[in-house]
Amino acid sequence: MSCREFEGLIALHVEGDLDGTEQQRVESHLHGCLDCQSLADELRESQAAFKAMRQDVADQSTLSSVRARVLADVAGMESRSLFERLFWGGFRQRATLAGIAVLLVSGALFWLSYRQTGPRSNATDPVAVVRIPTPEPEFVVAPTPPSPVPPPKPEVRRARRQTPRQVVVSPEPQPQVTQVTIKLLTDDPNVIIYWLGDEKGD
Amino acid sequence: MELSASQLWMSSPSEDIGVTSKLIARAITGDRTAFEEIVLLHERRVLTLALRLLGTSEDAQDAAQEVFLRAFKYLRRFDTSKPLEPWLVRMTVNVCRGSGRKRSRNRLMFVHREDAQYVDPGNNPYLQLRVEEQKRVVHEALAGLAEKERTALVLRDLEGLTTAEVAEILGSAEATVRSQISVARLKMRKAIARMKGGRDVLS
Repeated sequence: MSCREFEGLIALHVEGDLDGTEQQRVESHLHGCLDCQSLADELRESQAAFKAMRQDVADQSTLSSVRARVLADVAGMESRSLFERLFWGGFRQRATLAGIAVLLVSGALFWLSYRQTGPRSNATDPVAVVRIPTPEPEFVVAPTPPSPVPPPKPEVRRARRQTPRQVVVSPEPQPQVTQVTIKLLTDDPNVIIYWLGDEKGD
Repeated sequence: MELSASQLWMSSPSEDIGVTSKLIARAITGDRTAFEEIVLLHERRVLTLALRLLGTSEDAQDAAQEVFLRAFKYLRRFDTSKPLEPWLVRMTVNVCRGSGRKRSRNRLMFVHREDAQYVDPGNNPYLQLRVEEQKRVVHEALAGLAEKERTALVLRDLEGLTTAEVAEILGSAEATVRSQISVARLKMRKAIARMKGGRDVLS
């Protein structure tokens, strides 16, 4: 260990705060180290100066002053405590009991009135079934020009996208409608396509 | 003349637990004279400790007052099978630590205390001046310590508590307190030497 590492132990050693093993280590180091001996001497001197503060004790007049203040405060606390016990504490208890009594009486009255009048009508049908009519929507479908199916083309050419048929859908503005039917007319009057779906198109 | 730590620790006669428990029982039932007796038994210890921890008489008086009011408030919770003084000492340390945090750094300076009873250095004015100067230097060195170091050092070296007792009061590990005491002593040595300009402190 270096001298610097011994400093902390020497600070404890000068007041006898080390146990046997540590004490021996410090003493053997001090025996051969003049710098640490000097440090130990300085520590003893500063400790002696510090411990001289033990002689500073509070004087009688200060003690009397503090005691008087304490006893005055205690008297105030006791009087407040007595007031609370006699008035405020009793008041709180009475108020609590009164509140409980009011709640009990109110509950009893409500229960009696409920027993006399019985439950209200339709009380046995807790679930109301709402049926929303779903009228058939009307669509105006414009005729589309004939679009012959193109003959198969060579693979090198990109297939043309078929022109979509013009479909005008005009559902009546009924917010309750949940299902729509779309009627599509094709070139063949014998072929009519019906598309059933909801408002979202699903 | 130097008073030993144990003499200062027990400025009043050794605490009799039986007497104390009877006083507490009377004080709890509202006997104000019993509480006054408790205050009388322990006021010197509490006020002196507060004075050492806080450095000014004004703050120490406020702290001591707070300690006794807390004691009165929580007296019912006190275990009367134990001595009262350690409980009051712990409370004093807690109150002083709380008080110390509220104060500004400037007010923390340990000032010369006119109310303290110093040992009469005789009629030698030179000796009186030297004693006063030494006290000023020590107070300033103590004020320069961190709060935990100062508290540990005061409890160990001025109040004469063991390291284990100091650790219990501060709620710290014993090794931590040992380290704080060691560091504080080294700092005190350095500060005192610096303020004395390298001269021997006590010569």
